[in-house]
Amino acid sequence: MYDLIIFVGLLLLGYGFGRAAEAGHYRSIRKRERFLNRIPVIASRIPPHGEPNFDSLLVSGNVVISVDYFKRFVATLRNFFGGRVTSYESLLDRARREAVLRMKQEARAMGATMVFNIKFETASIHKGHGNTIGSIEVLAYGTALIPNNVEVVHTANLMR
Amino acid sequence: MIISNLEVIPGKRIQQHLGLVQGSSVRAKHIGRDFMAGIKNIFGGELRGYTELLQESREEATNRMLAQASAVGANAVLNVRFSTSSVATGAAELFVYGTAVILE
Amino acid sequence: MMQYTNPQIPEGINTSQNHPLKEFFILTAGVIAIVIVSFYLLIVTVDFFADKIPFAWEQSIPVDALLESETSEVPPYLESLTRQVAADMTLPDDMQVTLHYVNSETVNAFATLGGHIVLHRGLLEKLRSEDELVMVVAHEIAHLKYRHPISSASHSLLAMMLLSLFTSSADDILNRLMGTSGLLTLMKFSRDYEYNADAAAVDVLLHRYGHAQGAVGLFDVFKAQHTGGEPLEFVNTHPLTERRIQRALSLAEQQSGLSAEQSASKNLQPLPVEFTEWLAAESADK
Repeated sequence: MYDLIIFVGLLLLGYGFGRAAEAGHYRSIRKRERFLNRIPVIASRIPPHGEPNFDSLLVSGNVVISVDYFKRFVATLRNFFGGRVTSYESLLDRARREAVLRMKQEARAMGATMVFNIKFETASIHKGHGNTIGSIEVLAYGTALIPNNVEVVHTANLMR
Repeated sequence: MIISNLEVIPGKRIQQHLGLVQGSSVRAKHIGRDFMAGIKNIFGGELRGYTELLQESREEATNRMLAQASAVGANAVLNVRFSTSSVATGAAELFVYGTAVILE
Repeated sequence: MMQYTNPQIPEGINTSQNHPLKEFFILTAGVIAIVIVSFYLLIVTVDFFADKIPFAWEQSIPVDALLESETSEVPPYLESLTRQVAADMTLPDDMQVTLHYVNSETVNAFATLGGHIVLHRGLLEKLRSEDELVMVVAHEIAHLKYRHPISSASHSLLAMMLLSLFTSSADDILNRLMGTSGLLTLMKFSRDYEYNADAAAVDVLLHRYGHAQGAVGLFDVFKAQHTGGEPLEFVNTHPLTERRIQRALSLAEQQSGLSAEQSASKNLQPLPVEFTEWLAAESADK
């Protein structure tokens, strides 16, 4: 009986806090995406020709996001029937966009105008109960193109 | 819509780059498949259920990427890359991303 | 110069829009339904085949070896009463009923694999008449007649296997959810068994005494037991005592044509003095 109460409590906690955190995170993501919209991120390897006056530097952004109890329980249930695990979709979506944003922020601090050849790495770094997901890490990295005539704003970033 | 993992499409010129587009999908197989996979682990061989699972998942991820690309008005996605990660037992995430472009 | 722009990508392409709570309820209900339905099918199938298992095979399971250690000698009165009741019940030809008696405070009686019936002193002491004793014995023999012990044993075994199949990859809490819904399904069937056994026992009472007040008397004993707060082994797998009384009464009314008031006026056959003396001696002995 106590188990059941604890379980329902954890579910409610997970649902309440998880939903609030997700909504807040999406708001913040959308705001920053608009703000950093000036810096295009391109998946191609070949930078624009004919413009030699670019410095290039590796930039990256990573984020680790934890699953909440509710999401994990729904995913376990879903595993029983098969199909789309919707509760993890938003988790991964948030992680990807956040990683790109952090990478862009770094690029912007260097005065870059574009990020080329972006690549992603995804890892589930902590497994929970019964080998279910505990938290995921997403790393986004690419080459920032910095026009030569721009003064580097934060030299600290270059040292990384 | 052209999908390619080349940088450029021979004979076509890129008019405009529209940035990164991505698609992802997390899917699981029902418990029966998981059970069969457990048995198959004894004998070895292809896990058809999971092959199917990953293929479905990959298709869905690609479709989602294409949906993003057409939403921004692209007619091709170049330099496409796939990545797979197992986020939980019995469930796999398929992720695909590329550059949305307008070809002439 | 090539043009690089960065249009805003619309939301919701990489995520699904259905509400998480809806998904949660549908999936939970689905899991529970699957467990219940599969258990139900399993039990019905097992019950169909349980009748066909030869009794000799059931007897070869060495249950009596386990019982032997705690049982003591059965008094001749109990033994002969059991023979009479068994004779009334048209058991299958090859079935043999073996009676065991345990000198302990436990208020319980049960039937188990191989045709064994075990009576505890605790229950015998609570009985106030022969009718009630016949009700107990007939109820347990009915379990044997309908092959309930072998059915329940197969249920538990197969249910465990089925459940381990379901729960191979799930987490703790889901396992418990499935375990509980499976268990409840098993209990439902167990309660049906009790009703069946009650009905057969009421038949015996009617045949012997012309009325079924023994059943009412026995259930009154159980009721007193419940209010006393002592947990009976009968709690979940058995129906509510009140409901068993209702069923027994309506059954008796149908079969004997006596109304509830008419039967209530009938006197119960007292237990023989030698038996009550023997019980008292056993109690002092312990």
